[in-house]
Amino acid sequence: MISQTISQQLLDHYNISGFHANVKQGGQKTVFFPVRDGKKQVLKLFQNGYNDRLDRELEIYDKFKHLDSIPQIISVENFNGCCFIFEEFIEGDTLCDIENRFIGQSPLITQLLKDIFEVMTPIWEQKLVHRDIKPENIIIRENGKPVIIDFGIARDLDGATLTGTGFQPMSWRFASPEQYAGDKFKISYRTDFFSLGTLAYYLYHGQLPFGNSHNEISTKFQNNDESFTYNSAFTLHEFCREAMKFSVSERPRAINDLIKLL
Amino acid sequence: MKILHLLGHCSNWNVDAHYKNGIGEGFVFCAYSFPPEYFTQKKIHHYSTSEILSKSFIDLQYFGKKESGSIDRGKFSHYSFHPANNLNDDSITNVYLIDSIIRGINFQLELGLTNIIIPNYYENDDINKLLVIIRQINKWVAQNKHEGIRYYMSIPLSNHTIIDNDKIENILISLTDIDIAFDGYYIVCESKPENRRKLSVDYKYLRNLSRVFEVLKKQNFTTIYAYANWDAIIFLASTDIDYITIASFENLRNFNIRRFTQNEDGGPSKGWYFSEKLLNVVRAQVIDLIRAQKGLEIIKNDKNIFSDAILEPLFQWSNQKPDVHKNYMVAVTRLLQNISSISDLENRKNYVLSIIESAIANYEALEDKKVFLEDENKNYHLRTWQSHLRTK
Ligand SMILES: Nc1ncnc2c1ncn2[C@@H]1O[C@H](COP(=O)(O)OP(=O)(O)OP(=O)(O)O)[C@@H](O)[C@H]1O
Repeated sequence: MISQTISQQLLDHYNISGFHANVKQGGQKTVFFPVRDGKKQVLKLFQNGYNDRLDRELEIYDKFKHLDSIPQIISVENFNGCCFIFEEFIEGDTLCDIENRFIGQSPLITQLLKDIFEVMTPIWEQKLVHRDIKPENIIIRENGKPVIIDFGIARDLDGATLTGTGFQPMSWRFASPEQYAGDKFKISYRTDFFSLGTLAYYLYHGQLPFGNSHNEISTKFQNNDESFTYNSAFTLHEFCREAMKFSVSERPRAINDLIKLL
Repeated sequence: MKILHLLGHCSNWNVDAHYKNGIGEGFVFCAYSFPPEYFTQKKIHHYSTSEILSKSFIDLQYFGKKESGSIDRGKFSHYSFHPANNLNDDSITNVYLIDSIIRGINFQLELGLTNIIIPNYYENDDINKLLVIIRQINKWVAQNKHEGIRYYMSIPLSNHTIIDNDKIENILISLTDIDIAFDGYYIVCESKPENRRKLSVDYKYLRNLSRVFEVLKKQNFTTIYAYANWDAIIFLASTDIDYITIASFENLRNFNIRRFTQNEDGGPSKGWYFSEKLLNVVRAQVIDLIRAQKGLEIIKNDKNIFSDAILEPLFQWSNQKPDVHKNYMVAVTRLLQNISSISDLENRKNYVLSIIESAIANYEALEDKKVFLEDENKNYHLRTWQSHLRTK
């Protein structure tokens, strides 16, 4: 069963004096917001214990611990059979909570995307893919800069394959055709390009480019119907068109080629 | 777009066509016909070797592989590192295959070539084997690239592969991956025309090969279309391919793995007249009929001294005569150049559609004169080309 609460014993053991926000329940983990030694932190409790997927996520955080645009892992813990990590708490708003601010705002979206590209470029260059870029996984710091979280299904393309294409139940909105098709071979940094194209479109219009349900989107993908309508004032349609090519090989190969369209 | 001569049998015709008639901008020597010693002579067909090599590529033709049974070696055995020498050996490993490729690259560098065609093996349907080799060679190139040298990876596409959309997409994804260090690709595609046809009119072949060029070009790779036949005009209609090879004999205009695994001789033939007006060849034997029906004007190539010579009533046709082949070289070069001179791709496509329309009309004009062409001479291809281009 999912543990929504944390034992007193654990709280004591880790010096947790209280919580600074409400618990969030995800597909694979429960996210708590403890205060430790007077500092805000995040505690991610993994329901299925320590597994390959977590291992992979940690590896990625470790590889990129020099970046301040992904959260730092404070420690990895195993307490009485509970597996969890303490993570740096990123002060700011999760994009999904403030997405209304972006509606109709091309320049704001452009800046946000440029910042996300800056975060992701070194990661992609290492042949890693996030695979689940969506508003829930982007936290905007107070200075406006985005932090990308939840590399849980990221995949090191040169390393072993992990979860197939497995994306999270709620992630269909920003998922690519290759993820819908479950085609592992085609997953690459250009899968993230697709999600970013979708994100840009979504932030501006307040709705998705290819339909509002899993079914609608899936049908568009299957029919290879790349058309989407957009507001005439939306300046990022060219970017979206290239990023959201259904064919992976047709999406820009060079990260810079895509950035240039912003 | 630049034209290269793909050289094999009777290469002096091509070399002369280049130096005397200004056809093409360089050469691709096929290892099957030229041993390594060939490139260390002072002169090649009366021209200075260094002059020739400065505009040349070498295709080492590693295509034939162990699974294919025996390999027709031609001059391959003169290359100590050529895998054709060992491929019948059961102990061939991936390490050996990679090593042969690297040695093939180094051979070209030592010759002083600045354009390197990285040789590669032909895989009938297991594209993963192909992609593993490409990735490994890419890593090597990334680490060992020399300044000023351009590296073109050979991509042999079997007929099985080219007609399979998903395989082609997977290959293209790999070829355009983030860490690719190649400057471009040397595309070799097995078209497998039906019996009594020179060109494939398989719609999937046309669509997928077009896509290969389009995608590679869009992703800023240099594209070389090797072993091209005159249906190169269709691929050039939608992509500004960087290099297209032209060649005299069939084996260099229609890639087929069997030519590397069996000794196939074309045998004697009276030859063909390539007509830019029909976008097709006409057998020598039919020329007399067309002349008798006063239809030569319909098929005659413009401003082409070789065409003029071979359409003379007394010309003794043979495919061993240079003028027959030079007629092709001049005519196909002009077709390709006319197409590539139109830089706007929409206009270019319309132009190609217009020459296809004219060719169809020319076929009809021949029929009006009671000339009915058969087999490979007839119009079996133009409607498919039209549909292909119109539906793009
Ligand atoms: N380091 C952090 N700092 C601030 N807030 C965070 C941090 N990590 C997570 N959050 C908040 O918690 C929410 C859930 O986190 P996360 O995306 O890691 O888990 P999840 O969605 O449950 O994971 P999964 O998608 O694997 O099921 C985020 O949307 C974000 O609002």
